[in-house]
Amino acid sequence: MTADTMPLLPSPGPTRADKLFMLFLVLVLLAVVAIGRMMYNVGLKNEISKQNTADLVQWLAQAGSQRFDSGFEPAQCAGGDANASNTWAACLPRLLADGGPLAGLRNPFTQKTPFFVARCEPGSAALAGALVIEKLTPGQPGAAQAFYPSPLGGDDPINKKMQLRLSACDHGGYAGISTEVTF
Amino acid sequence: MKPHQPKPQLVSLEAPSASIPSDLPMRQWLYAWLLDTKIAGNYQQSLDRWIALLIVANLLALLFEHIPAVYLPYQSWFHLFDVASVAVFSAEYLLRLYLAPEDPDFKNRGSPRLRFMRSPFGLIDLLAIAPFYLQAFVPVDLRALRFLRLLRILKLFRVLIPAWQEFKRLNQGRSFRQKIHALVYPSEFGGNLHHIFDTFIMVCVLISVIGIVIESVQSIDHVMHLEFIVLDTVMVAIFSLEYCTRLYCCVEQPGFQKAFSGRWRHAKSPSLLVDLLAILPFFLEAFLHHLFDLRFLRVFRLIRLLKLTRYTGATATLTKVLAREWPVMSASIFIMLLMVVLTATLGYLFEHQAQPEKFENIPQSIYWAVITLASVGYGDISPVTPMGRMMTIILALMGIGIFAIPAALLSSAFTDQLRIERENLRNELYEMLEDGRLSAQEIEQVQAEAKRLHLSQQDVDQLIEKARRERELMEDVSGLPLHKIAGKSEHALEHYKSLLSQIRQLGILTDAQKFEELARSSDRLTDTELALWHKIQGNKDKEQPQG
Repeated sequence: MTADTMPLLPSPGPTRADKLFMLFLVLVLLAVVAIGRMMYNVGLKNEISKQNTADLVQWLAQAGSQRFDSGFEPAQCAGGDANASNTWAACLPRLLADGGPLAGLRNPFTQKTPFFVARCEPGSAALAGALVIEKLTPGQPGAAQAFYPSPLGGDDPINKKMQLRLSACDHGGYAGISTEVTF
Repeated sequence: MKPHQPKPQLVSLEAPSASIPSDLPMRQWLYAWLLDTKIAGNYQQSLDRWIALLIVANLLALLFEHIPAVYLPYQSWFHLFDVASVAVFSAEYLLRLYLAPEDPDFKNRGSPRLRFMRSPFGLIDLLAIAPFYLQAFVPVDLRALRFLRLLRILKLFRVLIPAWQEFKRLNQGRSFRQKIHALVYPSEFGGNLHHIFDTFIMVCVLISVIGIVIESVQSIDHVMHLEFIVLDTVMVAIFSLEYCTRLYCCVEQPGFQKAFSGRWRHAKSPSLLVDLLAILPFFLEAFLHHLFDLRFLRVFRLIRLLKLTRYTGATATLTKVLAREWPVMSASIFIMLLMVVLTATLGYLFEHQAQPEKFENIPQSIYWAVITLASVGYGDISPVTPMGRMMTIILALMGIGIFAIPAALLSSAFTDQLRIERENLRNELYEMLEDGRLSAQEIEQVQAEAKRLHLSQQDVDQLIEKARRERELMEDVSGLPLHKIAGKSEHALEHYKSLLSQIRQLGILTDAQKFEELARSSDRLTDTELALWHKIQGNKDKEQPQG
C-alpha cells in the first residue's frame, strides 16, 4: 500500500474557537463587501457627474456651431451682436430649467439640479457633483501656454465664440478630468 | 586512516532531469515526459504551470473585455489571444485523449479514451474549448459565450486537486488550526498547496500594486474608476482574510504559542504590521472620510509591495547589515550632519549679503549645503561671492568622501553578511554530511538556502566539497598517537577496522605462497599468528593453527 492509497487518519473536527474564527472571517468578508459596495455606489455617483459634464460638453459643442444663427433656442444662450446682452448667468439656469435642453440632468449626490461653481475645492464635500466651467483666454504669441484658464463669471458676455473647459467635482470636492469645447 | 564514507551526491539547483528510456513506445514515452505525475524531472509540472498561467491570463482578458475603453480599441488582439488560447487548450485536450491509454486511472479499464472523455477533468477540459467551436456553428449570445469561457477557470483544478490531496495526506490527524498554519506559513506540512497559496498572494500583491500605479493616471482612472474600486475591494478582502488567518494560527509557530501574548507579539512583528498597513487605508478611508480628507492614504496602499519581502531574504539581510553597522553608520551620519550645519552657516554668512533672497536664512542654506554635499547640484541656489565659491569647492570635494563613507560601509557590510551566511550554509552542510550523504529533505533545504543567497551551481558544489573535506579531516585520526586513538572507543574501532583492511590489502598484494613459505620455514610467525592471518584473509581451510 503506497502513501497515496493509504486511508487517511481522521482529523479532529473544528473546535469552538475554530468555528468562532470562521464566523469572524465571514464577518470581515461581509464588512469589506459592504464598504466596497458603499465605495462603488459613490463611484457610480461620480460616473453620473462625469456623464453630466459629458452631456453639457456635447450640447455646448453642438450649440457652438448653431447659436449664431437667428432663432436659436434657448435665446439666452444665443450669440452674435444682436444678443450682446446675453450672459452666462442667464444662459446656464435656462439650460437646466424645465423645458431646457439639459432639463434631465441631476446632481447624483443631492438628486437636485446640478449647480455651477468657480472651482472645485478638495475636502469640500458640499461641492460634490458641482459643475465647473472655465473660460480659456488665448495667451500671447510665443507664450508658454496656448490658453490661460480663469473662472467663468455670471456677468461674462456670451455673444462671442469662446473656448471653455468643463469638469465636475467628485464626492471629495476634487476636480475630475476636464474637457475642452468651443462654444 | 580514512574511514569509508560515500561521496555525497551533488545538490542540483536545476530540477533533476528525468531518466526516461528513449526506446519506449512513442505513446508511453510521451506520457512519461509530459503527463506522468510520478516521474520527477519530467515536463508534467512545467506543463501544468504554463496551462495555469494561460488560464489566469484568460481570466484577466475576460475581465478586461467588460471594459469598453480597453476592449474596443484592441478587439482584434483580444480575439487573437482567445484563438491562441483555444488552440493551446485543444492541443492539450487531444494530447490527454491520445495518451489516456497510458494513464493509470484509465488504462486498466475498457475504452480508456472514452473513460477519459467522461471523467470530470476530461469534461472540464472539453467545456473550456467547446463554446469556441460551438459559436462557429450556432449563433451564441456574446454574454453567454463569455460566461462559458469563464468555465476555463475550472481547469485550475488540475493543479489544485492533487495539491489538496497531498495537503490532506500530510496533515492527517492534525487539528483545523494546524492545517491553517500549514497552509499559510512555511512548514513541512504545507506541501504544494502552501506554494500555491504563496504564489496566489504574490500575484494578488502585484496585480494590486499595478492597479494602484495605473489608477494614478487620471485619464485611465477616468474610464476605469469603478473597475479600480472593485479590484481594490477584492484585494482588500483577500489580504484581510490572510491577515486574520495569520493572526489566528500564529500560535502554532514556535515562540508565539500563548493565545493572547503570542498573537500580540506576532501582530507587532514587521511582516504582520506590513500586512495590517496594506489593508488599513481602505477601512480608514471608509470610516473616517466624513471627518477628514483621507485621500492621501490611498498612496499608502503601495505598502502592499512590502508584503513581498516575506518571500525574499533580501530585507532580512539589509536589516541585519544596518543593525550590525549602526554604530559606525551613526558616527558617519553625525559627521555628515556636523558638516552640513557648519557649511550652511558659513554659506549664510558669506552669501546672505549678496543674495538675501536665496540665502535668506540658515535652513535655506542647509538645503544648498545638502544639495552640494550630495553632488546633486540642482543649481537653483548657487554662491556668487569669492568666499562662497571657494567654500563650495571645498564642500563639493568633501561631499564625495562624506557621502561615500556610508555607501562604502553598507556595501562592505553586505559582502560580509553574505560571507557569514555562506559560512553558515557550509556549517549546516557539515552537519548534514554526518552520515556521508544528503537526504531529500536536506537537499531541498540546501536548494532553498542557495536560492536565497543567490549561489550558483558551482558555488554550491564548492561548499559541499569543502564541507566534505573538513568532515573527512575531522574524522581522519590516523595522524594521532595510539593512546589518543585508544582514548575514544569509536576511534579505536575505526582504527581497528582500518588495520584489518590494511592486512587484507597486504594479503591481496603480496605473493601468498612465498609469504606462507617464509612464515613457516623461518618460524617468523607462530601458528596462532599464521592462523589469524589466514582468518583475516578468509582462507577457511587454513584457519586452524597447525602443530
